[in-house]
Amino acid sequence: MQYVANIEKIGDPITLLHMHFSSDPIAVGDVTMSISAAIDQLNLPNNSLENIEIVVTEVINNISEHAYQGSADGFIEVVVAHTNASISFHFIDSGLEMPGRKLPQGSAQKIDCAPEDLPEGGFGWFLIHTLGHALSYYRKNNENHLKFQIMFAPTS
Amino acid sequence: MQMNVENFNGAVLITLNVSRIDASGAVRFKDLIREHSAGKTGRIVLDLAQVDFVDSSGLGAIVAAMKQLSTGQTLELASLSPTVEKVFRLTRMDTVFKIHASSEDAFAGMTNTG
Repeated sequence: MQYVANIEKIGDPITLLHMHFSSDPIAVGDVTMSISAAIDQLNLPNNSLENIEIVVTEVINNISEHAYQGSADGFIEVVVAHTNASISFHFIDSGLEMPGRKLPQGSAQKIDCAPEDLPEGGFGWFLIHTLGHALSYYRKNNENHLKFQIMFAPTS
Repeated sequence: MQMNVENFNGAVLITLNVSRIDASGAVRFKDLIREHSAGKTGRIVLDLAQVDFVDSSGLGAIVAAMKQLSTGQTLELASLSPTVEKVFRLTRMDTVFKIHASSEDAFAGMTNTG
């Protein structure tokens, strides 16, 4: 019996973008807008582009400020791919490793307090964890690798 | 960082003429808000109609701007764009600030003194 399988490559990621850019904190906004502009052409559903802009900005800010300590001399690499359910991101940098070599928890900030005690920071990782999916971090060949997906189905 | 300031009786309307409040502009933003709210009492209303995006640093700067106000001053926000509104909602900062749909709403019934 011959079994002819018609295997459809559903879910294989298609690379959309592969960029290298400077870690200069001033340039973060421009880079995020370039990434958003490239993805915008796909007409993604459910305000996915908003979520992408929010998470990508926070991720690049973190690499620039923490991995490269605000230096403009570092390079950041990103591979952006598209599956039928999500946009996937793979960020690579050769800056300092994450404390403890693991992702910050990004818990929600406590805001039920007096105005003078309101937090002014710590929102970044919370936003990344809330809107990003399948986050993973690893270190390889003195490089940081951060991967995550933004799903098309609404998360919020 | 461009801002337009209008004074009302017991209130100030500060319209931000920038498209992003992010890490690169956060310190400048705080300084300018402090400068434009100094010596004024009552409501400081920030119109963010032109601001397409606020990141976590920008959000922190808005909180810091509120914390540096004097007694008798309050910071309110108007005209949040969708992405900005989402960041406030996810972090629950929309429960901390009074948010108006527009500056017209914020100042209904008040007279512009210049």
